[in-house]
Amino acid sequence: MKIDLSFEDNLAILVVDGILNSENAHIFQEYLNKVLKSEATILELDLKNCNNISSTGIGKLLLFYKDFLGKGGEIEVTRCSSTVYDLFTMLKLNQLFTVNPG
Amino acid sequence: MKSTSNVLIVDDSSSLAQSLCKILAMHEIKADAVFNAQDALQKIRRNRYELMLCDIEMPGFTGLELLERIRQDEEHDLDVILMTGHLEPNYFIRAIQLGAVDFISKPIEAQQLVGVISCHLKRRHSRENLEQFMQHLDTANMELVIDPKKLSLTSISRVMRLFFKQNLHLPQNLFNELLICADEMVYNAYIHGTLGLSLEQRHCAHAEQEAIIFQKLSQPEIATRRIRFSVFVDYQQNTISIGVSDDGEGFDYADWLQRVAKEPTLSLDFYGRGIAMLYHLSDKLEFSQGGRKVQISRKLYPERAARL
Repeated sequence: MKIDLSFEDNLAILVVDGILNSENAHIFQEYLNKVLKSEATILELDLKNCNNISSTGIGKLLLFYKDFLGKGGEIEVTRCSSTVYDLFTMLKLNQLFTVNPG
Repeated sequence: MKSTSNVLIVDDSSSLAQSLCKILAMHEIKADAVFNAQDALQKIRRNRYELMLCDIEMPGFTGLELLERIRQDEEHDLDVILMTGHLEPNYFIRAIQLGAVDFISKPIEAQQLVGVISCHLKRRHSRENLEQFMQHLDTANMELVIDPKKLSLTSISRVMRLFFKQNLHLPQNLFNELLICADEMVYNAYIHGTLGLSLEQRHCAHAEQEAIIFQKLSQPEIATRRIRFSVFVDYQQNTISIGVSDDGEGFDYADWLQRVAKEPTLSLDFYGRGIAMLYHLSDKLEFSQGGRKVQISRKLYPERAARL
């Protein structure tokens, strides 16, 4: 898995490439913590090349969501594959933040 | 040499690319030529090439960038040989990282070209024969007994990735979903069944969690626990089953199974997310041994009926 994080004003763009699973979810969490500590109020999570996410990865995103929401932040998940989109819908994450299919 | 061999030659010098095609044709190796990376990508999408011979230095999109694009799309199982006049060490390392199988120096000597390509096609056909053999087995079974102290050294996803790649030609989505299921099941057996981490311990910072796990694994009653992982492929029934069991306390799985069956789209309950994912990603989800064993089953090739 590869993660790339960039900032544009109040927007943080996190691009995840590969499978996000229990082995690497802590790395994902480290990047989310960087976003939390930054001035960003919008997180764009680009999952174009993310093949799948385990529940550990989802758990890290949810923990981040609670803290980010607390500081007035918003998450937008973009360019999901059909598998990841189905997963987000099944877990009702699309009710918490915008989830756009690829 | 089979005349059905399919090679794509990519070089911005059209005369060189066409000459190489002619040389290969003389040795019954069928080849197409394109003169830039964009055309190469289009050709690759439309055809099932076995091997690509590609120049590194091309205007615009270089050979390395083309290789990177091909590797991003795991649908393409293409061996790539790079050709260049000179190869800088950084380029060489990057090409190896991206999975280039060989290099040919320019100017190209015809005999060497045919030798290298024939050798790689022969290896590929041998690999494909092995894959075909594996697919014509009645059943295949793999069982692993995992020492939790060693689990952190590698992830089960890597083991499974290797096993699936070598033995099964699965559609990409199924491949990814099985990897996620295997990861989910082993991680649960590790975190819950073996270590018995509390909710708070599971959500603390990574370094802190590592310290807790280290401390837990130093306790003999935890260190002697084992995680048993199995994959059973039934080619006749066209199914694959993944099972994981642990030596932990188990849990009230019947209640959870009822909940996911009633409401497959579970709410964001901290305890139900993993089960909901397994339920969602499998054709059949079963628990046994008081919740210490979980098994999922999937149809192997969706388009294929059971081979009976």
